[in-house]
Formats: sequence, structure tokens, C-alpha cells
Amino acid sequence: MLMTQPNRPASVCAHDVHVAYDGHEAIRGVDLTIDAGEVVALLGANGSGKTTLVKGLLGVLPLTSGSVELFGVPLGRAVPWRDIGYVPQRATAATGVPTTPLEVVISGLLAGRRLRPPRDARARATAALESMGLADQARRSVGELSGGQQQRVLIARALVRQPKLLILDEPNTGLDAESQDALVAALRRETGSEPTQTGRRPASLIMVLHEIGPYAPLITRSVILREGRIAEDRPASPTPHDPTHPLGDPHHAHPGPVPPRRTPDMEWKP
Amino acid sequence: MISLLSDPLMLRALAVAILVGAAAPVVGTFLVQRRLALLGDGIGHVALTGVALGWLVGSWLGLVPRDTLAVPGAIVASIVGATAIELIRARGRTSGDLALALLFYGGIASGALVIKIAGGTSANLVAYLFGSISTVSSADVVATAVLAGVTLCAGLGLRSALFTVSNDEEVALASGLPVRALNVALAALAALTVTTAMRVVGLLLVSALMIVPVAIAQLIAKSFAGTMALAGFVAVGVSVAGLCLTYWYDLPPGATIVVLAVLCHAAVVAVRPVLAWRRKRIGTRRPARDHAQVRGGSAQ
Repeated sequence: MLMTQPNRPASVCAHDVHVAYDGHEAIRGVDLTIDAGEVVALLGANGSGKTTLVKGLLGVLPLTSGSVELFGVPLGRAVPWRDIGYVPQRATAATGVPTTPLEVVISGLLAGRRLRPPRDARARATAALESMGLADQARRSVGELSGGQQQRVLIARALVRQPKLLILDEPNTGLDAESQDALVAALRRETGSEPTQTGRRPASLIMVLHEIGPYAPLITRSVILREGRIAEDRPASPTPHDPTHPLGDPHHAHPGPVPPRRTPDMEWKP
Repeated sequence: MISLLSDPLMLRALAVAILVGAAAPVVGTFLVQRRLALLGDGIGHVALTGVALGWLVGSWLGLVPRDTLAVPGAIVASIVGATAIELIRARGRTSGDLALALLFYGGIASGALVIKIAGGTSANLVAYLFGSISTVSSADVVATAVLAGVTLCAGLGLRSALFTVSNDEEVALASGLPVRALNVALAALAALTVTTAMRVVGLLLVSALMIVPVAIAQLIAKSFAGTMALAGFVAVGVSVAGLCLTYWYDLPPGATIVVLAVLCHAAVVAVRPVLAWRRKRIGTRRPARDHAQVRGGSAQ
């Protein structure tokens, strides 16, 4: 089901990527190819460069050297940006001016050379909000929503494009149980683990994670970063039960509270 | 009231006030969203140098009156200044605040210096610092209409793109949008607005007409579009009301308009708890109705 066709370009093809952040080189030579349909967990300790790598792959931060191709096109205006959804790590979706979830999600339909929303923007945004269980919140102010609901608005903004590559940076930040269930269900649809009505091809997925937790059944590959380099890159069985395998840095500490929703057999840590 | 509307001077002033009131909050809403509320102020200070430079060139060329080029000078200087602020802001995260401060003081001091070289005095700048809406000519009305029209068309035409960039610059970058160009476009629009509003409230208060109506509207509105529309109504309202007050009482127009706007803000803050309470009551009724609709829909 998740087999790649030989003539289809890889979703992400990074070669010897270096990215500087705040004056120091946070990513120091990463080679990474992600094929269509792969679900990759990007793991590593705090400061290992997970977020910086993702920002470099998407052109948010400039590369100091190396090259990135998305769907076979070098980073730049020619990339099919409409096929790429990105959920950054955010504590809130609110800004200085009141904004409705509908307005935030419609803004997700602008990409590349498209500077105005398409005609069916409202219907598509409503559908994306519905898929995240937020249909009844569409016209409230984002600032009035709970942290988990705000995070779901940001996810809906990425999903509204029906991306072929979806990148989520620490999606568990501030996510309550209800929001986590909605996210897992949405990701199952996007990655083809569950049939969709539209019959779209399954999307590739990169998730920056601190803890695999409820996403374990989805993940097909784990990439572990350490000090700006790939320390380990291995396929992950859909249900990892290997309790002996060290995950990333042995000094890895969990600074924040552990997400509440985990069953013991899904737990996968040193 | 009839005497007010039969006075051509007053009619021209009202036309300018309405045009500026409608245009200023469009740009102001994006600036507040980006938390750049003081950008307009920085541009206003730079525009003063432009006024003085326009004056200097005018006196070199022997133009009559000597301030013929003051407004074109202000437009050029403020667009250059706004673009500079934006580029400096984009380059370094920490120095943006300091860069803004340098432009503030550099702008106002250069203005005072250049006007002296041009053979004027700082007093000549007072009309620009505090506005001179009571002396607008028909040509001024036309110029204001053109500037306000450009601001409204560009601001509303690019509103989705400007919203997307102002709402989340990082995601806009990761969407391949021309973020740098849109940011510079917004800065240039802010510069145009500053020079348009200069006649009404003056450069020192120009930012108030862009920002205070937005501050009022965001207390009430739920959406970005609603905030922008309401801010426009508030700005037109306080501009017209302030101007009318100066017709009957001997008050400075720019200051009256801004004080009215600030008082409006205070009044809305005072009655807001009541509004929130009413909304809560309506809100508790609404979900029940929606629920009934959903059930009705699924039964079909």
C-alpha cells in the first residue's frame, strides 16, 4: 500500500544540509531522503536540531550549505508548495488582532504564487475544521479557544491543502486527550492507514517528536538526531515492542510533563 | 448643521477626514496583527525629514509656495524609511527596536535641521507635526483621494496575502509565499497612509488614527475582517465628529480627533464587561439551536 513508484520523485531529498540558527551551526551535514507514503518520526534530545532541520528543509531558515529538493524541485518558488503542509510548534494561534479559526484555516490555502484564496475556500476550510472536530468553533475568536483547540486549528490550516507531505513539529505541545484523538484519526486518514472517501494517494509525514506515544502504530521509520547529525536511521515496525532499544541520546531527559494518553504497550523508551 | 455643510472649507475638510479615516485602519489592522503598532510613528518622524527636504528643493527651484514639494518629499522619505525599517527588522531579531529608535530621532532632528537650511524655521513644520486640515485646498482633496484610493485598493486587494504573512510569517515562508515582498509592500502602504493622514492629524499623531480605532475594534470584534471593518467605521466616525467639534469650538482638529478616539477606547473598555456578559448569555442559548440543526440535518 505504501510502496513507492520508481518514477515518482522523493518527497524530501536533502544532501549534506547545514543550517545555522542564532549564529551557531545547529545542523551539521544531514543527508535524508523520504519517499512518498513514509511516516517518519524525527527524534532526539532537546537542542539536537530537530526543529532547525525541519525549518531548513522548508526554507524557513536558509541553508548555510548543501541542497534540499522537495518533490524533485530544488527549494525555491518552483516547489509545489500547495502539496506541503507545515504545523509549527506554537503555544498559541492567537495574534494581536482577533481572528476566527475559519480565517486562519483559509490562510492555509495561500501558497506559492496563489495570493488569494480559491472560490471554494470557505467550504474547504469548514471541512478541514470539521475533520479536526472544530466545526462549532469556526466563528469564535481563536484566543478564546483552549490550547488544544488552538493547536487543532493550526493542524487544520496545514490539512486544508490536502498535502502530499505533512510536517508536524512537536504536535503534542499543549494537546489534550480529545485533541490528540482527533489528530491521530486525521493522520491515519492522511497516511492511508484508513480509507478516505477521496481516494487520494497517502501523504508522507514527518513528525518531530519527543515521545512516540500514541503515534507508534503509524510510524514506519525513525530518524534520531544527535548534535546536528543523524545518529540513527532505522525502520520502525508499526507496533514497536523492543524495550531494550535505546532511543536517541542516553542522557535524554524529559523536561516537560509526559503526555497523559499512553497505554503501556505503546510506550517505547530506554 | 446647515451652516456647517454650506461652508466649502468645512466640506473639503470633511471629505479629507472621511477618506483618511477609511484608509488608515486598513493598514493599521495589519500592523497591530504583526505587533508593529509603532511602525507608523517611526515613519511619521522620517516623513518630517521628507517635508523639510521637499521644502529645501522647492526653495532651490524658486517654487511658489515654497512647500509645494513638501508632500511629495514626505511620500518619498517615508517609503524609503519604511522599507529601511522593514529590511532592518528582517535582518536582525534584536536590533529592530533600536533601529526604530534611531529612525525616530534621526528623522525628527534632520527635519528641524534641513528646514533651517531651507530658510524656514521649525514653526513652519508645526502644520505638518499637528495637522492643518482647516486649510485644505481642492487640490489637496484630490491628492488625498488618490492616496487613500491606492491604499484602500492595495490593502484590500492584497488582504488575504498580507493577513497570511502577518498572521504567521514562518508558515508563510514554508508555503513559498513572497514574504519579503509582501512585508515591504505593507511597509510602503503604511508610509503612504502616514503621508495621507499627515494633513488631518499631523505627523506626531498620525499613528493614532491607524492604531487607536483598531484597538477599539478588537475589543468588540471576533474576526480579523470584522476588526478591520469596525475600525474603519470608528476612524471615520471620530474624524467627522472631531472635525465638527472644531467647527463650533476653537479646538485643534488633529488633537481633538485623537483625544476622541482615546476616549472611545476608554468607554468601550468600561462597558466591555457588560457586553461580555450579554454575549455569554446569548452563547449559552446558541449551541442548543445548532445541535437541533445538526440533528435535523442527519435525519434527512
